[in-house]
Amino acid sequence: MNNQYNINSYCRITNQKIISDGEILLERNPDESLSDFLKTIYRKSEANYPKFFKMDLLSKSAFLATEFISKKESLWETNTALLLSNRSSSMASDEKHAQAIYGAEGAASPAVFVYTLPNVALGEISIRHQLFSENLFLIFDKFSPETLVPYAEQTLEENKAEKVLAGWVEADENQLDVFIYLIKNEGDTKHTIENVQNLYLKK
Amino acid sequence: MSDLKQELKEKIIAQLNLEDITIEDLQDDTPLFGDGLGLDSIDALELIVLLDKQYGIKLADPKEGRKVFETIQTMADYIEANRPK
Repeated sequence: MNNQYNINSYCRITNQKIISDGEILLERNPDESLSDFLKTIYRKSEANYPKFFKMDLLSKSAFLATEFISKKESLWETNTALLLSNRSSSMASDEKHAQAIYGAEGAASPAVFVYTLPNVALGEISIRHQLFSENLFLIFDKFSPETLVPYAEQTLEENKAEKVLAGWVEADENQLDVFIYLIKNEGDTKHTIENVQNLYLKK
Repeated sequence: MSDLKQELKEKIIAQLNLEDITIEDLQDDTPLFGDGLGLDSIDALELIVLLDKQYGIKLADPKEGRKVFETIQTMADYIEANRPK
C-alpha cells in the first residue's frame, strides 16, 4: 500500500462525551440515559432530520458521528465508501424484535424489525448524504484497524471511491463506543494502523 | 369520537416516535402521508399493527389502507365503523 492517504476528520462518541477532531463537543449529564444523550447530541448537531428519532441506537450513533464529520467535509452526493464494524452486530434490535414476537405483545413491530441488520446503519447514512457508493459492515471481536486500514486503502487505490468513511459503532442501552473517521488524500494525520488505533484510544 | 381522535393522536405520536410533533400540530384533517406528516412505508405497517393490537381491526387489504390512513379523521371513522362491538 502506498501511504498517501490521510485521516481527514474523525468523531468519537463514548458514554461520557462526544469528541470531534480533538474538540469535546458535549459531555453527558450523569443523570441522562445513553439514549437521551444521543438526543442531546442530535439537537447539538442541528440536523433537522426527524427520521433520526425512528432509528435504533446503532443507526443513531453512526448517523450522529457522520453528521459532525460531514460538517467539516461534505459527503453530500460524493463517492464516499462506507466501511463500518462492531462486535454485537444489530443485537440490541434483534433482542427487541425477539421480545416483541415471543413476549406479551406477541407481534413484531415493523419499526423495530427494519433495524435487525447492522448494515441498515450504512443505509441511513447513505440516504442522509445521498451516497450510491460501496459499503460494508464487518463484525469483529474488537476494534480492528489492522483490517479496516488496508481494506479502506485498497478501495481507494482501486478507484472504487474518492473517500472512505470507516470505523467502529458499538451501541446499546449500556454502552456507546463509536469511532468514525474519514480517509482521503488531504488531512493532517497519516492513515496508518497505529494512528487510527491511537485516535480510537485517545480519551 | 373526539376522544377517539385525541387517543389516536397520542398513540400515533408515541408509536411512530414523532418527537418533534405535538398533539396540537396534528389536526384532524392533516394528511398523514406525503406533504402532511410525511410518514413512510414502515409507519404504514406500524399503523396496521396499531389498528390490530389497539382496536382489534385487521386490515386485510393493503389498498384499503390508502384511504383509511389519509388523516386522523378517516382513521377514526374507520375504527368507529369496524371495531368489534
